[in-house]
Amino acid sequence: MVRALSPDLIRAAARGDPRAFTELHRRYAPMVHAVLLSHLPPFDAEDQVQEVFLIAWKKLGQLDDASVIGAWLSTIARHRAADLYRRRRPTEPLGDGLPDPRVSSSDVAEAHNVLATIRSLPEAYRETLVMRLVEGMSGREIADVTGLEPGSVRINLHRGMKLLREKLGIEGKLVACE
Amino acid sequence: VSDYLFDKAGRDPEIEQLEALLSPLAYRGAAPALPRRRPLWVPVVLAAAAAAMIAVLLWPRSWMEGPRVVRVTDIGTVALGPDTRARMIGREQVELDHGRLSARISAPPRRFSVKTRHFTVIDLGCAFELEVDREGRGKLVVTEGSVALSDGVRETVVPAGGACAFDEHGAGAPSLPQAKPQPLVEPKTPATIAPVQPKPVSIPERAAPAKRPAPAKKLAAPVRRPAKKAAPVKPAATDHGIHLEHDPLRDLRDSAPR
Repeated sequence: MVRALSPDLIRAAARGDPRAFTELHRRYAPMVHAVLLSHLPPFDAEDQVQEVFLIAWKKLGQLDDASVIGAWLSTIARHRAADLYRRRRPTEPLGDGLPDPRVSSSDVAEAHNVLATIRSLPEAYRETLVMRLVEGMSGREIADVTGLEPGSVRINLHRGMKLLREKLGIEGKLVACE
Repeated sequence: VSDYLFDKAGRDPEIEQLEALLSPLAYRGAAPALPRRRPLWVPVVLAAAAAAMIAVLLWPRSWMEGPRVVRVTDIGTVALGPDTRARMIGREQVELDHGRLSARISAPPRRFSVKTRHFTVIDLGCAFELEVDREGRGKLVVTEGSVALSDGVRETVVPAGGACAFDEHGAGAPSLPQAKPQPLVEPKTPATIAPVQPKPVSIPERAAPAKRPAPAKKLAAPVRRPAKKAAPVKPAATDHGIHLEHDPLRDLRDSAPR
C-alpha cells in the first residue's frame, strides 16, 4: 500500500536524515518511475529514477510545503525526461515503441508495445495509467502520492483506459486469448 | 465501467491481463546511494568564521593607555604620557583620543600621522609633542623639522620651535620659533649714513618746524638684513603740506607727560 509520507518525515529527509529519505524513496519511487516511463523507454526510466532522487536529496531543503512533495518529484521527473529527450533526439528517437533489445521474451515485447501505446496518450492519462497498470497502484494510492483529487484520478483512469482500448483494438481480445 | 480500474474492487479480466503483462516493468530499484550531505550548520559556521576574520583584519586595534612607548614600524617611536589613550589605526597612523604623546619619526614626509578629534597631525620629518584634552582641544609643539596640522581642508605648517593650538573651531596662528641669538660680529665696513641736508621747505603756520633728521649712526650690532646706506629722507606732501617718515612732533607729543 503506497501512502503519502507525513510532513515530519519529509522535513527529516530535508534535514539530511538518510532513513527518512529511504522511506521517501520507497513510497514515491513507483510514482516517479511511472512518470518517467510515460516518457522514456524502460531501461532509461529506471536509471533516471535514481537521478531524480539524487536531485531531490540535494534540493529537498528548498521545498517549503511538504504537502506538495509528490507534485514536486513529478516535476523533477518530467524535467529529467525532457532533458534526456532533448539530448538524444538527434540520434536516438524515443518513444518509438520498439522493444528493449536487452529482452527477448515475447511477453515483454508485447508489454513494450502496450507501453508505447500508452505513451501516445495525453500526458494526464498516460501517467495515471502507468501508475495503475505497471506499478499496480490503486486509484486512491495514486491520488495520495500525486496530490490529485481521487475523482480526477478516477476520470483520468477511465478516459485513458477507453482511449487505450481503442488504440490497441483489444476490446475483448486479451480475454479471448486466455 | 469497472470499479476494479480505480480501487481494485471486484474483477476485470481485461485489466488484470494488462496488469500481468505490464507488471514486469514495475520499478523495483533500491534507493540510490546518497552522497554525504554537508550538515546545514557547516555553511553557517564557515560564514561566521569568515566574517570574524574580516572583522579582525578591518577592526581598528584596541586602545592603549599611557605611559608607554610604542614603536612605529621602523620609522620611529611614539611615547605616550600618563593619562593618555591612543591606538594604532594603521601601520603608521595613530589616533590620540586624549592625553599627550611625543613622537620622533625618521621617515619621508606624510608617512606618519596622528589623528585627533578635530585635526590630523602630519609628520613632515620631525619630532613633536602633541597634547589633546577629552574635547579634542590641543596644542602641537614642534621640536625638530616641521609638522602639518590639517583639518582635512587646510593645512598649517608649523616649523621647528613653533607651536600651534587648535580646537573644534580651527587652528590658531602658529607661534613663530624663537630666534636664536646671533654672535656679535663687527661688520667689516661699518655702514654709515651720510648726513642729510634737508632742503628748505615752506612750513605752514600751524605746522611745527621740521626737525632735521637724526644723523646717521654707526650700527652697533649686526642686523639680520644686510645694512644699506640710508637714503636721504624725502619729504612728501601731506595735508599740512609736508610729511616726514619720522615725525619728531609726534614723538614729542607722545613722550610728553600728561
